[in-house]
Amino acid sequence: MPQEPELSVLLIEDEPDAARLIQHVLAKGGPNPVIVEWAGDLRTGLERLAERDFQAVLLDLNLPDSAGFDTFACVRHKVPNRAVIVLTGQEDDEMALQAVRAGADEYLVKSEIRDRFLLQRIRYAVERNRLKGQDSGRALKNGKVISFLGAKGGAGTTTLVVNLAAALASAGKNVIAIELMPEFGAFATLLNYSPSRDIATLLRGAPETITRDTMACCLEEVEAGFRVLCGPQRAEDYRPVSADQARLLFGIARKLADYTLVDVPSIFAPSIAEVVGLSALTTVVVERNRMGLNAAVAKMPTLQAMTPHPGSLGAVLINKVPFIEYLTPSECGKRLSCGILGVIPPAADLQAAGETEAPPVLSRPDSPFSLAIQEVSRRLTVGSGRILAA
Amino acid sequence: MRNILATFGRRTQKHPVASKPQQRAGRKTVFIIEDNPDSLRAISQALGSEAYHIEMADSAESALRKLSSFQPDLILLDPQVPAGDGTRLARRLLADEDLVAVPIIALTQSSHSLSGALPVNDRFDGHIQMPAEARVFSGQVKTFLEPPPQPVSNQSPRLDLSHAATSDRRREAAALLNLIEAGLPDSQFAPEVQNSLQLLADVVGGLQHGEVADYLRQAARLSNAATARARSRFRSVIRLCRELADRDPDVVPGLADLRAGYMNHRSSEMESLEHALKNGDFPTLQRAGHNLKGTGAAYGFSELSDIGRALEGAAKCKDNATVEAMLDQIESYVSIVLSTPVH
Repeated sequence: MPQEPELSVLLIEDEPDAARLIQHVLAKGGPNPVIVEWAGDLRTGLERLAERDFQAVLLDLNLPDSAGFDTFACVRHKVPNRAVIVLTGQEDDEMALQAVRAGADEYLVKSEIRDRFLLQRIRYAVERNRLKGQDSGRALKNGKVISFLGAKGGAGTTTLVVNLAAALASAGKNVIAIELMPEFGAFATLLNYSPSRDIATLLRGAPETITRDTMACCLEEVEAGFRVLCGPQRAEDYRPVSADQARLLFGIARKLADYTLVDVPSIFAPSIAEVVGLSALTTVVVERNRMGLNAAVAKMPTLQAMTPHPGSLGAVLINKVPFIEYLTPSECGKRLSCGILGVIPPAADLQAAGETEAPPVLSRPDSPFSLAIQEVSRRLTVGSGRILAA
Repeated sequence: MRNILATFGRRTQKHPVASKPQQRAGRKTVFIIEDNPDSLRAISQALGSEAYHIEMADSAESALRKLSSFQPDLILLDPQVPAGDGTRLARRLLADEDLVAVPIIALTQSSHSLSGALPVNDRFDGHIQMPAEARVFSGQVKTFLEPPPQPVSNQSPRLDLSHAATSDRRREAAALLNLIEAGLPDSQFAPEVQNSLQLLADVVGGLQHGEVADYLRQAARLSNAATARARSRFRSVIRLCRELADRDPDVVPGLADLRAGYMNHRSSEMESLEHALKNGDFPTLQRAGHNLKGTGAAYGFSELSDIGRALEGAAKCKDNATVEAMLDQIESYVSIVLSTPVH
């Protein structure tokens, strides 16, 4: 058998008895040399990682100077391209799974570290990590962020985003939909599923915990064919999104998909400026009536100041009732001084269907609502320069 | 390792059996550990009319020293000896393999039990309320000296090694141990168990599984002892054997030494845990429980993980009595492992 390459492991573990056993098993458990260094707390561990390049980190999450998911996030940030293997007690399964979802390469239950496969599992984790590195390098996208912002609450922004994402996905595009809501997210209800992780999982830690790995792990593929990051589902997860977090979130998102559609709340916060600044197109969702239009007109100057260039601001008009005797779309466009991407007829009767079925654009593709959504989705895909060529 | 044990107050090796005092007289030996000279005198007078051989000690230190030279039939212990150190002494005596069949009776001060200061738990084999009338007292001692009725077991886990290939003996061992474990508590007293364990110990000992062999011999010795301690110790030893037999022993060389070292750490940690309990330092106890929970099973001592879990929980809700009981269990478990020679 050919000699396996030398393996270097940093063990970050505060309990000397556990550390002693792991070191022993690694040193004596196989025929090939393993270099094991031991750090008793996170600070020392991070120092060691700065000093030399270890292939794998064996990490206890609960250390004297750091606890839980934060420990993992710090180490993952420090060594984004090295195998991180989480050590856990029998009762911390949930924490370990969370770490694995967020990009840990493996987790080991401490009571099983006497196992003859310890070394093997570490080698596998190292190998998987190496392959993952090649993989993500190949798959990086240069996608577009398109944000949607209601001129006022209740305009129908969330319905629009979900259906547009489904339409783009069914046209073969790689799509992510993100719900940037500070409070209860409605994506899950509209898509009729319960997310196991949501945006709160990503926002819980320091900004640097938002990485390509953690992000990819928090995105969930839904039946409609796109990946979603839902807004917080539980009141205790409601928290504001900082500008730093938003910049990272969407900077990464556009590398992971062709289109990232963002449901932006109709409030102004530092994070909104970041999203709008990063968006190839910011779409104001306007109810086609006097109140809706006035609300939109009032918002336009602020939005204009945030967009990278004037052409990256547009509007979608929402007809809340079947027959409108208000301004024509082009008159609305003039009042808003931006292009109109489309006019969406009422979806009220279709929304009820959405409770049990796929988004209406997929379940009733021939309805006027769906046809209008498909038209907008076509416009989004014709190319950045001509998105707004009405 | 004997040196390490000695420094932590465990008993050292006994003198040869021939020199034991009770062997000469054929009388029962009662060992009284009491620091109050008046009580000591009163007790020995109360027992004077009986044909006992009486040994006495007035401190934990002298008790441990004296116990290395003779084997008592009954121990009467004042848990307040000396100045509150009796609990620690009791813990060591209760964990001592050589005393596992000897009833240990607490001399309970009635003033204490009335105030509820002494937890009533089953760590002792019995309690005698003090002060007591001489006749009542001597009657109670007599009762405790009578051998307890031994449970009878009808089932008979039996090992048949005649056809087993050498490579299958570990599996044979695991099968027998599973059978005994499933039949607890009765299986301890099954007619064939002692022989089977002894036989198994000889066989696996020859297969270089020295550690298992030693535990099996310990289990064989315990198989007819009926005290509550002996029973729980038997259960622990069987579980420990089964755990070892379940594993492939050749995985990582040098693990036995590491395991012994781990137990030595537990042993040296005990003093600080007792100190923590005395001072109500529950965070220390909780942390220790947490660490035991995490490391015990990793070293192949899964019962220690269970004890650690219970200790962590008890320390978290400041449950003195349970913490106390868990320290007893740790001490006892440590003594199971450390009373076998190191390989």
